[in-house]
Amino acid sequence: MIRRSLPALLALALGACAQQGQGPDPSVMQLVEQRQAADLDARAAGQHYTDRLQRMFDAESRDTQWADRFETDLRRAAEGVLSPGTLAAVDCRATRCMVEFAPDAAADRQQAQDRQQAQGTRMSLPASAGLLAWLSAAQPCGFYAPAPSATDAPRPVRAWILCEDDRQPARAAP
Amino acid sequence: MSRIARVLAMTVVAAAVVAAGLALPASDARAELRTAQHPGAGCIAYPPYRNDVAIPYQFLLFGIDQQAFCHIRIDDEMPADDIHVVFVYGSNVEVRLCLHREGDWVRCGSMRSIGSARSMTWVGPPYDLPSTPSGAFLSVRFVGGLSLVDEYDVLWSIPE
Repeated sequence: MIRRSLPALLALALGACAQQGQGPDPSVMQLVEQRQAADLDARAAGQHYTDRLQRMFDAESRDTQWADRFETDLRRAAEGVLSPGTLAAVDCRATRCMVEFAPDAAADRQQAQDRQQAQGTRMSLPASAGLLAWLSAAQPCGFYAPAPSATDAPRPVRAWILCEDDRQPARAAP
Repeated sequence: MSRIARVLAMTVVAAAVVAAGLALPASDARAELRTAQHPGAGCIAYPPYRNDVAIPYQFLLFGIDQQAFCHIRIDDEMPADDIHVVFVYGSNVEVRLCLHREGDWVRCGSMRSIGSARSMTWVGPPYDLPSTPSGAFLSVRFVGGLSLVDEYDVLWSIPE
């Protein structure tokens, strides 16, 4: 409720301030503070979550047959789709994989073309959007990834493929 | 939505639940079920800036290549974390349900397929989320020639 109503409340409060020359309504400011606190909590929870995924991943022993095949299929799925070097690391265990995308290089080829086409409209997509689309198309398991940001990532982007429910092979590129 | 349309929608969804062999969890025995129907034409094709990926026509989305993202309307009465299942009607598509919290994370479930015959599949939400999600969408991949997304119906199970 608070999250979705906030922009309207802010606009209302700022509009009221401009009209009356007063500070924002305290109740609105309280909502703003609640929203900021919720965002901080969510960020901390996200960090805990990725730490937990890392621990679970580290604790999982490698099922060589499955892991080798999944890694090979993932790399094959990246060929011709992601720019060379984008897929910086792939490491699978028994039910989970860690995938790391290189910073800046993290753009797919299609996206590079899209960016050129979009120059006329002065719009471009962040590379992370392409990575998410690739992750969704390249393999059948569930996954967790950071949300796409408005700018290219200054650090490597790490995502997790979670195949606990269905250990199927990744899809190879056609 | 009119009352008649609502009853019809619930009937269709109930039939789909039975057809898919889905059951509500025991903890949801006292939950209120709500549904919302979304036309395939509301999906957004990916990559953008291209007109050879998908064509929305009336209420349908014809998929040609690549992917589409189909967003689910979320509001206070039907929040993202209470989504129970989404029924997808179409052909030649692979689909998964993703939940997200804007600016923080995206968590997607595993993929399910619909073959060349126009039919239905269902996707459930991913388990084990980092924090409360703020939104939800379907990630759709077009496979095998011309694909189609007719409609996707969301079933919420709201705890009472």
